[in-house]
Amino acid sequence: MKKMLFVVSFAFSVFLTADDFSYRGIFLGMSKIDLLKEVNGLPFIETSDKIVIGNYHDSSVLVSVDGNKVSDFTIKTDLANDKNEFIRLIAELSAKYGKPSYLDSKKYKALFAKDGIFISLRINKKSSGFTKFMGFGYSKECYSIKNVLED
Amino acid sequence: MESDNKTVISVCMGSSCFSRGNNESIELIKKYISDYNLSGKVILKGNLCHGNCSLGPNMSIGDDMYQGILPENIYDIMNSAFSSEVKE
Repeated sequence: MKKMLFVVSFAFSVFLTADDFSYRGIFLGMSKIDLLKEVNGLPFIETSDKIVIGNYHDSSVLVSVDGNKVSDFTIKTDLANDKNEFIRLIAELSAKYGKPSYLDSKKYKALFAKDGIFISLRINKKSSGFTKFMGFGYSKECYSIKNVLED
Repeated sequence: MESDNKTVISVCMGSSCFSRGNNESIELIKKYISDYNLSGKVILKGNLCHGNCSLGPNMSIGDDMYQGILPENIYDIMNSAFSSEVKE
């Protein structure tokens, strides 16, 4: 019974927190129709469950769609001054999710964990091989502590 | 991998694979599906990075993994995977 209560409360807390996550006009739980209105006129490529949107506020956005709702997204941007953007995002995310549970300012990596969700922030010059980008997103599939620490 | 008896084509949409050719490959796969009336038999999905960037661009068709794919190879890959479905 205790175990069940824990699972229910955990799922509920994830649900509440996940709904808070947003980036400019895109937020978890928004409908696909609203998403397409938000990015109207921007280039996008779509599969049955993922949409990549280009040029969204100087970033590209990879959105997962589940049952016509946004279930997951990551923002990737290539900025002239990555350091300033990193610091700005650390401040913005700290205000919302508390102190980062992992922060390496030299490697530009941070991880926020709250109520069972992970929000990772990083400038990644390694895994893509040639593309420098800043990744920022709530993700169930892609990011984990292991990704952030080892990638 | 099959979903509702449809063969799943899963294309990596992580930034590395995507910018190295999968952005174009997705459009070519869609065109192939349309040209050969495969929409009832396949489902095109995207996947996030699985950490195989150095071997990419990556995609899978059913249980078969394809690595280092280029847009110019898509037609041949699709032909070999769906040869029994496609009649030229």
